[in-house]
Amino acid sequence: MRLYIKNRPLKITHSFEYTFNNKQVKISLSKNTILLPIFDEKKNRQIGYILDGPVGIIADLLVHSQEGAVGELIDEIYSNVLLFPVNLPFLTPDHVKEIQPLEDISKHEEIVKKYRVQIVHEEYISYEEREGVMIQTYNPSSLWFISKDSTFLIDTEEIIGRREEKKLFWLVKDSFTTVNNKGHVKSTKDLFSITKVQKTVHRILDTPLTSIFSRFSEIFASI
Amino acid sequence: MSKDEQIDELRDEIEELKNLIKNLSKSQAEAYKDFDASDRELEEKERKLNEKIQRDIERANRRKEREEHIHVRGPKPPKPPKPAKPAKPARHARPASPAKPVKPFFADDFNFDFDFDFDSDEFKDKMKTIMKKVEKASEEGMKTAKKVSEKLSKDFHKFLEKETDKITKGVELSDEDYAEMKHDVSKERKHIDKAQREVDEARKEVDEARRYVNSIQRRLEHAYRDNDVKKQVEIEKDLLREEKVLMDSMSHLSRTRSELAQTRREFARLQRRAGKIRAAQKKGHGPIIISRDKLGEDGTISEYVAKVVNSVGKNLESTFRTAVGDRKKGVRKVLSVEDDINLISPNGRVDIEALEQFYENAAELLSALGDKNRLKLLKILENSPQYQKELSEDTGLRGGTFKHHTDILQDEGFITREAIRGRYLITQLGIEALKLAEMIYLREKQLEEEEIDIDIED
Repeated sequence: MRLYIKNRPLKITHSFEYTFNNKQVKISLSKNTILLPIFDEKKNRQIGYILDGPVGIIADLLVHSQEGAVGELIDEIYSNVLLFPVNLPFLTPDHVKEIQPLEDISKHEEIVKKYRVQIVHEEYISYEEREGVMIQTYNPSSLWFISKDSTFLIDTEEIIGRREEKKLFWLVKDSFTTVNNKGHVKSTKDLFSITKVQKTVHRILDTPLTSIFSRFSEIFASI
Repeated sequence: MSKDEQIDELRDEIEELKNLIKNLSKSQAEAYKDFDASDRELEEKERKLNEKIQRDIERANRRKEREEHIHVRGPKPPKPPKPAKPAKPARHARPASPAKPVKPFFADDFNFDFDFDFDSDEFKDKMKTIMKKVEKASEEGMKTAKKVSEKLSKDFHKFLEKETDKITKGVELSDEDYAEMKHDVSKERKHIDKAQREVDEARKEVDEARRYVNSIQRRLEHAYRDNDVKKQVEIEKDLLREEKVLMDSMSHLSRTRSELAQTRREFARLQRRAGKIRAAQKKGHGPIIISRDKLGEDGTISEYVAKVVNSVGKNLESTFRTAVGDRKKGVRKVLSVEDDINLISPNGRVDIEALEQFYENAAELLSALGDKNRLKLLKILENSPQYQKELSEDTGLRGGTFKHHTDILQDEGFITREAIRGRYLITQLGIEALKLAEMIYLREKQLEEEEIDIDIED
């Protein structure tokens, strides 16, 4: 998929934090951060934004289990991110305003070129309908999927997903851990199982964005 | 000719063509209508004819029964004619074909003439041979079924006795005995398979006999249609006799089959039992199989025992592991004592530096546990994550004191806190620490009780 940006910038008027409905992820945006709309070249349709400015993501990707807390607390600051879809709940006139076109957007175009969008955007979800947001970061490279009850983080070192209060799966380089509804922890270091899970997750990434959250839910159903 | 004239000519031609197309489409539509009407007519006639044929056949049957007053099992009633399929709608792409002239079709045209003569010698001979074949097949079926059942019961009893003996003597099983037992099981399995094949063959033969009986039934139907009453009675008598024989052989076959199934069930039960013994042996609960090569020269098993003791030692070593929290990632990383704290250097001497580090870190960890409020916090969090307010109410700690204790526990990695909702959670290390404290407490209590017992004895 080829992306391009249009010089119709928005600007964050004041710093603010937004907690997603699942109470697992908080995004913090700084004042004067520039937002430029991203378009799909093939369909000539806006699919999201590129945010140029420090974007903080804090996530509670840990759950209580019979063996104690399992998972991680994520606290990362990214210099720029791609945000999908278009109608995001925190991009309201209270927080953003339209500004004059920028003199030079070549810098932003270069940033967009660096991103390799891995998801098939056949149909674009709206936040109101599905409550699903995808955030793609470049440095460090990672993919965030935030739905109304779950959060998934896929980065180069690990894949971690949390659903509601109790369910979690966590795949790091050499081990795969799951926590089920009853708080039972299962952990394996079997390379065959780990490779299988990795393949399953990467196969999910080839699905359209509309069905990606239900596919992740399927993973949880098997825990 | 000028361009305008040419255009006018072309326009005229187009109009003519349009008219032609209109006429064609009209004639096509009419043709389709005719075609549909003729289809419907044909369908209606077919239906009426079928109904009439059915009525005639039923009437004829009833008349025959009244005339003969013989109560015999009659032939199967003729199948009701299938309802005529609705005519396919004419495709638009199909060219209009002229309606075919429909040949008038009446009930008188339909007759029951058969080429075969039932009174002929040929038919009688054929019937005789069929009867002979049926008799032969049923006799053979009976014989095989009897043979199979006898053989199966014999084999089964033998096998049952043998295996029961072996299982009762299971405590003394050796590798060789176990192998022999397995061999016997496989042998019996082969026997059962063979018996199954024989039963299958018998079943085939019975099926064949059934087919013959069916063919006789069909002939009887023909005879009915031919109104040959004498022949009908004869064939029916024969048929009844053969059916009885067939039923007998079938019931025998089903009995044999049920016996075979029972034998299989018993066999499976024995297999399960053998499997259980094997599993129990593996876990160390059941009779132990000791292969002869593990026995010493004098027949003792000292070497074997030594091996077992060594393996127990290794298990103990692996259980003596400690969970060390990685402060940054922190909640699941488990390291073994061997990897993390090299108390003994490779040359066999005590590693002083490692020991110093161990003393320091262990003291910090234990000092974090050395407070009843902190132990209370850990115990509460063991069940579920808690908000600050709930924890504060349960422990009676407030403000600065509460923060002091939670900070110490957080620094040592015993608890962690959610970034968004702010609930406190116990970590894996925290659970281990709590267990350690509980274990020390219980051990002390046990020792105290033992001391009291000794004093009383003294």
